[in-house]
Amino acid sequence: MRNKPGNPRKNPRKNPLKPMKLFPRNLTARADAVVLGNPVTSRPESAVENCWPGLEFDQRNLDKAFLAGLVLEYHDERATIVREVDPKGPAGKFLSARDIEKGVYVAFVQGNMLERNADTKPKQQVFSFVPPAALENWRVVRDFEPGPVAIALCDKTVYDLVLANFYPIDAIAELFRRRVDRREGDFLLLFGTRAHYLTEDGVIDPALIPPGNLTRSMCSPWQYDFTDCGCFFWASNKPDMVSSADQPLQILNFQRKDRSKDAARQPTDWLLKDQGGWDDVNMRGHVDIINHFDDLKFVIAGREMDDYAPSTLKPSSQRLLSRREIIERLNVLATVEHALCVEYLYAYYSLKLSPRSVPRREPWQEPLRPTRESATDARIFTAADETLRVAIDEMRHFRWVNEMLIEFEQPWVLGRAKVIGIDFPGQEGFKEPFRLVPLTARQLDWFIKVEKASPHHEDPGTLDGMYTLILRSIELGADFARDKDERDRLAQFVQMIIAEGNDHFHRFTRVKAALDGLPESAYLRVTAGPKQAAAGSPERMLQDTADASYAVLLHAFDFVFRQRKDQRGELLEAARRGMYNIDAACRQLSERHVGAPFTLPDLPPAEPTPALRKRGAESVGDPLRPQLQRLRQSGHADLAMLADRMDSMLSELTSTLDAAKTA
Amino acid sequence: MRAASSELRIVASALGRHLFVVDGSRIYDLPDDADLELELDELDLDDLALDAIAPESRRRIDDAPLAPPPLQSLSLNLAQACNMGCAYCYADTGRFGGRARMMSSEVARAAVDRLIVEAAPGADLLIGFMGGEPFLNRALMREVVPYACGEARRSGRTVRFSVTTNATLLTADDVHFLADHDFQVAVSIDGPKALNDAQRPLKGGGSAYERVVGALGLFARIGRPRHLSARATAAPGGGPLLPILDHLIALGFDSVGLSPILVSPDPRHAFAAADFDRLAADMIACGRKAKHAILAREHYPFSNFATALHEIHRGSHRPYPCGAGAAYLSVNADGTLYACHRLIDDARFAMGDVRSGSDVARRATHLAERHVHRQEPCRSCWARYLCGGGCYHEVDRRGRAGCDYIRAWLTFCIASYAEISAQAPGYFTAPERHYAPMRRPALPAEVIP
Repeated sequence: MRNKPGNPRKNPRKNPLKPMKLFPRNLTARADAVVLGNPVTSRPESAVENCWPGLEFDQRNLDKAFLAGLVLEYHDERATIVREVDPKGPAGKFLSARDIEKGVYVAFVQGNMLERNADTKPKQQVFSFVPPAALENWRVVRDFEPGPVAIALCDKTVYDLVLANFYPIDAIAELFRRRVDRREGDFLLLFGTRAHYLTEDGVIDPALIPPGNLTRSMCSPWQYDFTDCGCFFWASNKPDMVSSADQPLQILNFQRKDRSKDAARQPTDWLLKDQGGWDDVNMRGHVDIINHFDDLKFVIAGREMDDYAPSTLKPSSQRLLSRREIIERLNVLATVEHALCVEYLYAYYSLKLSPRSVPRREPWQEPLRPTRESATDARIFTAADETLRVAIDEMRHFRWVNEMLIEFEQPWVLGRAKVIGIDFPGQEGFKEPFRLVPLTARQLDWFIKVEKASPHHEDPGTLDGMYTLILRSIELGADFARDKDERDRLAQFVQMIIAEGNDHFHRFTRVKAALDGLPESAYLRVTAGPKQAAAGSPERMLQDTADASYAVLLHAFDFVFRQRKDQRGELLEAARRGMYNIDAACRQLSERHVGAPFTLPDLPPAEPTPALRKRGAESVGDPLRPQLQRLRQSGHADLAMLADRMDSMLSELTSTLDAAKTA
Repeated sequence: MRAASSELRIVASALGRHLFVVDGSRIYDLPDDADLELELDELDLDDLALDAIAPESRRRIDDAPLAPPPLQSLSLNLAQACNMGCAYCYADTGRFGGRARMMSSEVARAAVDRLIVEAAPGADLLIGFMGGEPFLNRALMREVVPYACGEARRSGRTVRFSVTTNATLLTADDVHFLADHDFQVAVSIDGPKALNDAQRPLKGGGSAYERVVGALGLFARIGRPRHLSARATAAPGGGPLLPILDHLIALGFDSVGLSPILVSPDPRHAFAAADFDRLAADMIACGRKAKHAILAREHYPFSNFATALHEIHRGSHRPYPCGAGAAYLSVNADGTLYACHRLIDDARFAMGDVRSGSDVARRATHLAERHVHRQEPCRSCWARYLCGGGCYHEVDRRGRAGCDYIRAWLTFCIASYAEISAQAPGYFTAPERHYAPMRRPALPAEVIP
């Protein structure tokens, strides 16, 4: 570029680029531009639009400046007040810093409102800021449409009169008609237009809202926003109830004040006092939590931990299993899960269950526990509850292992191991004969042993290790490399079993702690293995009934496995109901200090045959009905009532199975 | 004193004036009312207080050379031999100054293995087939492609193929093969028949042009590969470039690129210093036509221009002219690796071999020596990060004779970029919607045996 003739070159020492605005044209130029101002996260079009208080910024802070020249504060403990006045603004003539200090209250506002369900043109409306509810006042201003606004300010004395409804709204509306800033009567009246909030470029006007103002209240625990969080995000991320490994009782209040080891002896200590009031005495408030956050323990998977040691997995040297080997092991594992489930159930029914405590009907329901119970009762309850939960889990594992076998296109296995063990060439593990034994200390130790996770997570001599090896083989083995969907499906089952297995170990450890120090006579009411009661006796009839219910459950499973895969989930849920009849019979037996024999019934062969598939679920109940008839004809009223109860539960089972099947 | 002209450039376009900032290849529009009387050559950088726009602390390119990256691309010289005798050929009719020879299967497989071994995990690989004329060794091409596909897949990578060919030997089977394996095919053809056949004689006589047209007919009948481009070598005696470009685009290629001869075994075929002005004017004329076509949303795929536009849009800035010796190497018939396909058999650019591996130390030295900050006159040239210092082969044989031409061309491209990005931004931001329904000319259907 040459100099124009006659035009002396400007001083080269002056930077010719400085005063210019350069428009970036290509991508690197655009990427280079840094614009000072509110962060990009506060652009309204990209915000999460959250203002309870706010994840990116608190939208409520916009409305503090709805009238130019004033900054309000809705969340003041007094009322909605004027926090700042721009001395150069229209209000600056009337208000001084001293006035602000003493307190300038917002009594009335007027703005354009849209009537819902009415005409679509906004109309001017007057609102009183009484009662002084911060969010309600803010909500009014929030809803103002663009257009004229007016505000009536006053001091404390007048505001007290406003609170007493001394000034009717119509009178104020009348005052607002002459739209001139002035003091009139007891009020300072100011007029203007509702702020636009955005500039022409669609960003929040930095002249209106100085940098920093938008983010002064945010969704952050450091600002005590647990209570302010209107969408319960923080509340939902803070646990209310946790479990603790070293307490005999399972459930603790996360916010409890007393954190000593002896604290959780009484079950009622952690509930709300006085039917719903926040318990200030026993529980920490939000401010306390933040001020004493270092007292809180880590909560991992719902359990408080004293320390957290991440598992150190060593790479395994175990050879991966082939498909065939996995199937072999699953066949054994199905029988083992079955056997464990029954052992656990027998142990459960050997406990002195209090008559009023029944197992939860659905997994998510809290167990019904008596309101008044002794410490011993509470401990037995804990032990029983944990044991039953594990038994139910084992039934689920039994189901999942069978679902895996079906996935492998193998026949399902309903049999029950005579020897609980993992014993394969090169992978010797434990071997214990299947035995029905009450929950003695020795039997409990066996339960703990069988559920113990292998320390290296892959000692296939343990149940946990076996499943882990199976999982690894599925995830990494060549036999499964081709079909990712199949891999995912199979892996999911095994992962669930492993996850629950880990939990079982902790549960049984808790059982042990709960029963620690109690003599067996204190908590057992069935003290021996099952002995067949005398023929014709009620006990014998109940034992036969229990066996028949057990058969029904297995028939129900058999029924389910013959159905189509897409129905199976619902059907299995329905099949679970077979448990209720077992429970009814076993509980009766337990009260008579007799154990249920859990005789393994004859089962139909697992090969799916078309004839069997067509049959309805009615036949599932066949083993039980004759038994119920015998109970009715026994001459004992309680047994007859039991029979009626069981009959209706049986009908529920078969009709649910049918309904799920045709659905 | 460091002249501001080494860091800034003012470019005028139909829109007004723009500031090209060398650091980061950034383009800004200057305001209309700017009373600019910048004589950048005479302004001292220090006076200019460039910090506002190119702070020293945030320079995008420093003096540190690139460390040899993992390999991504290899070209295989399947046949160091050719059935044509183009006088300007850098490969000296394919022999590269040595004896004619074919690559063996063992070398080709070793090259594929080598590429995979030295590539980054999950990389997208590119294998090019070159020569001489690669279809003289078509059996090897047929063998290597499936081998490379299998090996790449087994190693968790993908591989694409390209071939540069004179297209005079293509059979229907070849065309099937190229389409089936999604090749990028670059056909060497220099213009209309008379010009082409004069510059590109077939050994043994006949019209190379007609053979190429015949091949295009096969593509039309059987199926096109992933991309079918024409590469026209421009010689100083070849006349204006625009008619050549028009002609080749009309033949139906997906894109056409012009490559002026700067180095030739016979220097008469290369552009001399006095020719560069005309070359620049010719290229700009071609670019102007392409620009108008873009604005009119019509296809006129002049690849030199299109490539430049996209690089400028992205603000590409690099201290090297290409990937030779970095992620790209070329394999000669015996398996020795060289910086690129033009430098085959040049011992000074040897960089290992496919059996024992690329010579990483040599590659590192090459990249250190060739960093544009260490080249003269590049280190103070405003175009240095767009140009990168010039083709190693050309610079090595001839030095940097065409810098003014390059700068003139780039200036034109920057100005064109400004105009297109303002008037038809969709060309960059939504290219799939930019053009009216394709009116690419069909390939000639007649097949000449």
